[in-house]
Amino acid sequence: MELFEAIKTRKSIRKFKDKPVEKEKIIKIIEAATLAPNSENKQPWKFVVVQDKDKKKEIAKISILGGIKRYTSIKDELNEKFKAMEDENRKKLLDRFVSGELFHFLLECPVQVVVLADNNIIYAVHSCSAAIQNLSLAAHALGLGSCWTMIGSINSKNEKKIRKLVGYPEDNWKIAGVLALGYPDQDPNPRKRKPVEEVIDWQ
Amino acid sequence: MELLELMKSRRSIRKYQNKEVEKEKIQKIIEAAIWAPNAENDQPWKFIVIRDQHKMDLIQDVSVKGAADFFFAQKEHLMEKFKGLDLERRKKLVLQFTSGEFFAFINTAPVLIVVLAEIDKTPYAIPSASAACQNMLLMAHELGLGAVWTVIGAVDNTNREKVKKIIGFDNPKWDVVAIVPLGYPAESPSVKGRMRKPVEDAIDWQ
Ligand SMILES: Cc1cc2nc3c(=O)[nH]c(=O)nc-3n(C[C@H](O)[C@H](O)[C@H](O)COP(=O)(O)O)c2cc1C
Ligand SMILES: Cc1cc2nc3c(=O)[nH]c(=O)nc-3n(C[C@H](O)[C@H](O)[C@H](O)COP(=O)(O)O)c2cc1C
Repeated sequence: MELFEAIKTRKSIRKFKDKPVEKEKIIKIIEAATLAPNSENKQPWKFVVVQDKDKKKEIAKISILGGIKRYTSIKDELNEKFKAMEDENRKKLLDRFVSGELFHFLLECPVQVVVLADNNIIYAVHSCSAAIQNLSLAAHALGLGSCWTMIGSINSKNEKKIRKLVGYPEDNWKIAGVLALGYPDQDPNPRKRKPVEEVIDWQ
Repeated sequence: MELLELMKSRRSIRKYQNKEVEKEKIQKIIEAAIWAPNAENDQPWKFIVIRDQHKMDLIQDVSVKGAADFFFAQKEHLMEKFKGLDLERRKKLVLQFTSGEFFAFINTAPVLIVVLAEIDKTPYAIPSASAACQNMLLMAHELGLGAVWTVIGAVDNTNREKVKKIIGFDNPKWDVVAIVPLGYPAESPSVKGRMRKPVEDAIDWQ
């Protein structure tokens, strides 16, 4: 796939086929991730590929509870954000946020990738984010779908819980993302972007 | 170019031809940036495209001094890191770091793009803007341009504040995520020479 096409057609995927992902493909997309620029070429990352059912479930649970907490606390803001929708639909959508249902895909995806940034190295999160972007594009080009999530690690206690689960309790590590990965079982409409002129400032 | 090939062949470029970059190409690069995933689709970013030489010089000045400070503080560590080299070469190399000389290329590019993250919008503005920046670098490479993510010279917060002032975004809601010189490449670092640990080292199967 060509780059621009990959960039324009990649979408966050939150529904997956019940089909395992080939190990070679996982290696290939993580290899793409490691080709990202990174500060001082210190490669401050670790990609934990979680396929163990129980571990995946624990990580998903933390994320779902995190989602419930966050979206219950900002319910009014969400209501405002979706005010263009008609009442019935808006209510349904809000329910899916507040009940954590929107994050069940983390439970159902065949693979989770927990990306850890090594904060002993400067700009580790920047570098890992660039790597995750390579990973999502490469996954898309190989016919896979992914969704970068942070909802489980928004709260530092939960963030640490996930790190402990995967065996990285030392506090130099920081979660840069929990990615859901698998063969897509949906083709969502693209999320809109602001016109490009709005985000450019020519000087 | 095929996507994986493109990722493999992208290198950081720090030498540029004395040739302007077409406005359409700059637009296309930023168009690529904004299709990056981003937390809650808040699009917490802004791309400042600088072609004013004076502003570039000012940003360069901050970066060079910042990098010099950063590396000077770890001079001993650098001497240790390059201990395989003979003393003369080692001293010279370390000096290039600690004097900031290695970072004095920013104002030699025809264009400088400063990527800002809108940090008061979401706690994930920096990861989102970083993903966008990566799209930018890939797109630049696809269009035959060279670029490099620089920001080590601004690792100290006061330096990022100075950069923000120069571009008129002197407001706590913004943070500088990347300073990206962009131009037609005047060097072609080898792709084979790219050093990455074996991918297995980066993976932990669980
Ligand atoms: C967050 C970040 C900050 C960086 N800062 C600098 C910098 O200040 N100066 C510089 O010359 N390169 C900088 N780089 C580029 C890296 O040195 C480069 O990506 C790395 O050595 C790998 O080489 P490659 O990009 O050619 O694959 C930075 C990269 C990242 C991701
Ligand atoms: C740093 C970051 C964190 C994200 N966290 C979540 C998340 O917790 N849950 C989720 O469903 N999507 C999450 N996303 C995905 C965004 O919602 C998505 O990228 C955005 O809505 C744009 O849609 P698109 O990716 O389909 O273009 C996150 C994206 C980024 C970059």
